[in-house]
Order: sequence, then structure tokens, then C-alpha cells
Amino acid sequence: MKKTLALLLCAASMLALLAGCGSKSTDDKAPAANGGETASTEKADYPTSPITVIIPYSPGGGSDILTRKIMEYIELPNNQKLVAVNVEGASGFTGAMQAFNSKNDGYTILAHNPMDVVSYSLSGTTDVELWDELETVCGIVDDFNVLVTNPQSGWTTLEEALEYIKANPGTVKVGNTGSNNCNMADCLRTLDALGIRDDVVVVPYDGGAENKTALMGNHVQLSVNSCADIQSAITSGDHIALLTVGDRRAKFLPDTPCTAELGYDVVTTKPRGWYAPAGMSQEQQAVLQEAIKKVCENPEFEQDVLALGLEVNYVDGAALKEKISGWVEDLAPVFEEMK
Amino acid sequence: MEAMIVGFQAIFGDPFSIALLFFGVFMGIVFGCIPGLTAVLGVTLMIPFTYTMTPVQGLTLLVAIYVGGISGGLITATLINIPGTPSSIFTCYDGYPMAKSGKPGTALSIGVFASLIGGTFSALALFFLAPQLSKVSLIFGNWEYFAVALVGLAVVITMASNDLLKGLVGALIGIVLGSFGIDSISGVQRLTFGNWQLMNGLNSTALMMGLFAISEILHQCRDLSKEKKKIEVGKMSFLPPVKEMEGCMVPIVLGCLIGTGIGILPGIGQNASTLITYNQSKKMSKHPERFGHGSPEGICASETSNNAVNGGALIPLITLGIPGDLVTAALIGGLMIHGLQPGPLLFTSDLDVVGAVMVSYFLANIVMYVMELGLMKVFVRAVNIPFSYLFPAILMFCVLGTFALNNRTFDLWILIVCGILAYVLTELGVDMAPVILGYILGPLVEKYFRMAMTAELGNFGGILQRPIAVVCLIVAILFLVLPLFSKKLRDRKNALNI
Repeated sequence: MKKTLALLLCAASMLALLAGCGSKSTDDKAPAANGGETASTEKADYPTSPITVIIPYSPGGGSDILTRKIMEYIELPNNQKLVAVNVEGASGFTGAMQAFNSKNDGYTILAHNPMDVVSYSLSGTTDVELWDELETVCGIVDDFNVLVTNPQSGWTTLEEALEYIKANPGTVKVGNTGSNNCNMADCLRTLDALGIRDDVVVVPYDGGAENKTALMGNHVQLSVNSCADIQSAITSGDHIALLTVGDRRAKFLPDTPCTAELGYDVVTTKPRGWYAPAGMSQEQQAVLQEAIKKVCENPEFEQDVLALGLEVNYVDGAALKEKISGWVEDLAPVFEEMK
Repeated sequence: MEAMIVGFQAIFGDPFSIALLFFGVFMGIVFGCIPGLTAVLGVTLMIPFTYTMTPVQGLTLLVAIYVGGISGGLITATLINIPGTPSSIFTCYDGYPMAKSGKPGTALSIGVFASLIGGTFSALALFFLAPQLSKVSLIFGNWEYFAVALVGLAVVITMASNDLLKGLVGALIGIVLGSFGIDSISGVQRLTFGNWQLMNGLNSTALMMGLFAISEILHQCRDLSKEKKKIEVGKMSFLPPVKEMEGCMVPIVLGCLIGTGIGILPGIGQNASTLITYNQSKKMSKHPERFGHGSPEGICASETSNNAVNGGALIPLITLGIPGDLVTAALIGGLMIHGLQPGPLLFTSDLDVVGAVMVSYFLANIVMYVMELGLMKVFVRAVNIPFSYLFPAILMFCVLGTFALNNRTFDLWILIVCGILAYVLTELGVDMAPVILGYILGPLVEKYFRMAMTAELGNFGGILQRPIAVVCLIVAILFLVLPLFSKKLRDRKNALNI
């Protein structure tokens, strides 16, 4: 009996180790595969140990997959690796705060979609302006908001939809991902630009998947959702794209017009990129920037990203910061109005 | 049908997939039966590993862990009154009293058998009715979700039949616990006291492990010094004894239907499903007084229902690309990392993957049954392990599991505080079942009600155009009013008889 017990306890503590290290130790294999050839004979000062990447969303989500794809391709000096740590909650805010409060020694970075952080500050949910206080290392991919409808509505073009809405004000519902956030601001600005804001009812859904489901079930007839969330529904014909909210057409939707070409003054592309705790040194940032830039130039990576409904658009930290501040300036009045 | 054949081919054509199936179920059972290491944690820890496998292998592994994990929770729930995974909370209420009365083997075999039935039923639904059933998840809009959640909330009356006031107090505490964090509709912070750590609300695994594992340990610690009565391990058989299963048909059928049905509706989940099935079975049972004191019907209700949810949740996932719960959301990640698009097109583009998900789910249930029966002799002994050995290990796992799920130390505080809170509440005579009811269903009722009202511009009359919602609403009202009436009627009858 005692032996069995001892055995059981042993097995138990082994398991404990597995559980404790599981999320950290799992991601080490990938970079080793192609990292060998870059290692120069000289030893660089950074990085000398693995770098933790905080992903503020759940495993298996879009940001998680994107980050793990990058880990597959990236080559860092000294053959060092990235370690992914998922800290989800409050649409990314929890993980972002955890990164913000981490040491700025260059060994903790944040893989983020700044949209929600911007939303929380602008809507007054928090008084920390995280997008401004974090270092922006670089922007990696763009995601677009798209105005879509379902086959039940019978519309195939934007004009048809607008015509119906103008003729029957108050009957059409528009789904949106979240409320009091950048998506909502984007949605309202788009509806404003199209001149139908007062003719439709906007329904906020909790997340892109719920928004998508509602449109598929015809609980709403239009919906503003992110390309990454609805890509599969568009391919299968359950969603019909009418308009891309952006300064250019999305590569995934080459036949769908974008707001800029129609002359509407609403352009956003949700930039996903890497951030770091305030004060991380410029030299260290440069090392990461170079490594990421190389990944972004890899056509295979570009294809992988396209399959996720996103598209590669590398910009350096300064450009990313500028992009986000411009966006914040555009959005601020809409948030004021929503309050 | 075709998917099924292709699925069998895909899995049996690859020995590694079969090995992963067995490994996954085993790992699931281990994660499921250790309090703190939950089924969800098992799946989340494994996701990164599946990124390097083929889609069929990866999904087989994840589905197997999921099935083993949800079922494995019944083992510790039955033997030491601590749910191994939150979905087994209601198994504690009857499994443990039965085990304590000297029938741990019988209690386990009933639970394992019920798991098999629930799982197999939803697997068959997945095989033959997936396209038809998936329409249900599209028909349900905000009003329907609101009404279904309300029906669940209305069973609080049955639940708290012994002491209505304390039951309502419990439910209210649960609702308060569920309302921490940022309100998703207006963006306002609730009960966060300005602390950003609370902005996402209370982590549900930490909360449930606190309420059920930590508080139970605190309770039992008081008896540590007492000599523990040795429980005679009864006989075990492959099928549970027929005479024990009397009257279990009703909870099993209910569990299969409610479980699969709730699984199909995205975002409701196992806990709500077991809660509704358990209370509904109690209502319809010939011996409702035995519930909570070792009723086999209670075990059946809980275990059929939580396992049936799994198959239900896979239906919208493979037919529409809509995740039904956390685990199926992770499965979508498993598809996307390989460049596969979850959704209806999967049936034409990658039929083997669709088939593999269906078949591995079906097989995993059978493997789970055989494995749990085989291991039962080992498990049953746990009932006699001195708590002084067991509790430190369980505490450690609760802490580790809670931390590993989201890599935050703050969640550990939630675990501890909820444990103490639950201890105090139980001492005051407040049962934890209504608390859990309020915690799970309160936020659902609120969210869908507010979303529906936003969509209807504040007009509650909109619900009248939704027949399903109206029926549910009537049922909810009956649930609330009937018990009060029937009590009055009984009193009057008694008065007349005198």
C-alpha cells in the first residue's frame, strides 16, 4: 500500500511539473530547425537567453497562431528562441498590462493588436494610455474591418443594400463586434459616411464569432466584422462582402471596393505588431526589428498569413506609433459622442 | 455518412493517430480527475504540440483529451467529494454520499456508464444529424438565449426547496460573483475597485476550484485527527447493477437531450447543462428526496449531461465553423494553423478532417469507458487514502492548475478567497449549488437581455415574435409559480382531511 502511494505521489509531482512548464516549454523546437545557418561566430550581446512573448489572447486564437507562425520562421542572434506565454482576458488588456508591468530588459515583449487598448483608453474604461506608454517595436500584419451581408438579404453590392435601407429605414440591423470600442467607432463612421447611420439599428455582439453567427442566422442583415473572423464564411458564401474599411483593397477580397477609393473619409487597418515595456533599449529593439523584417520578407510566411485572413505589412516602430496616433485622433471624437 | 467512412479510414490508416487517441484519453482522464488540472487546461497545454502534427493527428489528440477530461472529473467527485473538473460539480452531490455508504465501486460504474451513454448519444447525433442540428444554433437569437438562461435560473426554486431564503441568498451571491469585470456592452468597470487585475472578472476555473476544492479541504481538515472509517470497496462490474439503475431512464434521456441541445448552442457550456439536467431530473423523479443523498439518478443526470455537451459542441464547429465553448475554440485554432478554414466548405475540401473529428470523438468515448473501468480498481482505493497525504497534493495541483491556465498569480488569490468564502457560507447553511447557478446563469441572462433590448430599441414586446423564446418564458414562469401553488394546494388538502 505504501509503495503504491509513493508511486502515485511521484507520478503526481511529475504531472505537476508538466502542467507548470507546459505552456512555456512547448515552443522551443520550431526555430531550431532553420536557426543554425545564421549563427555568426561572434557572440552578440542580445539576446543571450530566450525571449518571452506575451500573447494577450487564448491559445488557438488568431493572434496566438500568428505569433507561433512567426516563431517558426524567426532567426535570432545566438540562436536564441522565443517563448510564448498566453495571458488572456478583458480583450487583451490583462496581458497588455502584465507586459507593461514587466521588466524592460528586452526579455519580455508583447504581441498585440492595439485596438482594444486604444478602445479602453478612449472610452474612459482606464486612464492608462497603454498604446502611448508601451514601446512600439514594429507592425507586422494588417487586419481589415469589412461590411458584409448574408445571402438571405438578396443584396450583392453596396448600392443595392443602400437603396433598400433608404427605402425602408429602421428595418435593417447591423451587427458589430463589441460596443464602446474601435470596431464600433469604425462601424459608426462607416455608416455615417454611407449616410445610413440613422436608418439602421446597430447591435453589439460579444466577439467576432458571435457577430458572424448572428449574420448567418439572419438576426442582423449587415455586419461589420474583421476579415480574419469571417474569411471562412465569405469563402463558403454564407457572407457576402460589400465594402472594405481601409486605405486599399484587402488582398483576400480583390473584388470588394474599399472606403478610400469610394471617397469616404474612413480608413483604418487594425495593425498587429510587437510592443515592449517602456524603456527597452533602441539597440535591442533594432535586433528584433531586423529579425521580424526578414520573416515578413519570406513569401511562405506571407502565404501563411494570408490564410489567416490577414496580410503582411511590416512597418518599423516609429511608423507604427504614428499610425496608431493618427488613428486615435480620428477616433476620439466618435468615442466622445458614444459616451 | 461519407464523412464517417473517410474518418475511420483517416484514423485507422495512421497508427500514430490511434496511439494519440489512447494517449489523449488517458491524459484527459488524469487531468480530469485531479482537482485543479481541468479538461480545458489539458487541451490548452496540448495545443502548441498539435501545431507540428498533421491536422488529423492534432484534432484526434485534442478531442480525446476533451472527452477523457470531462468524464474523468467524476472520479474524485465520487470518491473524495471534490470535482476533478468543474463540470462534475453535480456528481459530488450524489456520487460521494453513495461512495461513503460503502458503494464506491457502484457509484463509479454508474457514473462511467452514464458518461458513455451521454457521449455516444451525442456522437450519433454528430454522425447523422449534424447538418440539420446546426441550423438550431442559427435560429437562436438573443431572445432565445435569454429565455433559455431564464428557465435555468428559475430552477433555483427546486434547488432551494429546503430553505428558500438561503437558496435565494446563495443565488444572489453567485450573481454578484459573476458580475465582476468590464461590462461588455457599456464598457463600464464593475466591482473592480480600480484594480486592472479584476478587469476581466473572476477567472471561472479559479473560482470554481476555490468554491468546491479549497472549501471542501478546509471542511474535511477539521476531521483530520479523527480515525477515518475504512470504506469497504464493493464489487465492480462492467455494467452497473440493474437494481441500482431503477428510475435512471429519465435522467439519462434528459441528460442526452439537454446536454446535446445545450452543446449546440454556442457559449452556454457543460456547467449550465449539468445544472439544468440535474434539477430537471429531480423534479421528474419518483424519489426526489433521495437526490443529494446518494441517488443513482443524480449521478446519471450529471454525467450523461456533461458528456453529451461535448458532441453537441462539435456540431456547429464542423458544420458552420462556430466554436461552442473554450475547447472547441481551441480546435478551430488547430484547424487554422494548418491553413484549413473551419466551416461548411470543410466537408468538400477536407472531408478526412471532418470525419476524423467525428470518428475520434466516437472512439474516444469507448476508449474512455474501457480505460476507466480498467483503472477503476486503482482509483477506488483512493477513497481510503488518508487525507493527510491527499490534501497537500490536491492543494498543490489546484494552485498549479489555476496558474498554468492563464499564467497569472492574481488568479491564485481568487482561488484562496473563494475557498474561504465558500467555507464560511457553507458554515452558515448556504448551499453552493445555488451560488454556482447564479454565477453561471446570471451573466448570461443579463447579457442576452441587454443585447436583445438594444436590437429592439428597448421594446420588450419583440420577444413575442419569437415562438421558442415565448415557450421558454412560459416554462420559466411555471417553474417559479407552480411550487408555491402546489404547496398551497397540498396544505389545503391536508386541512380538509383533518
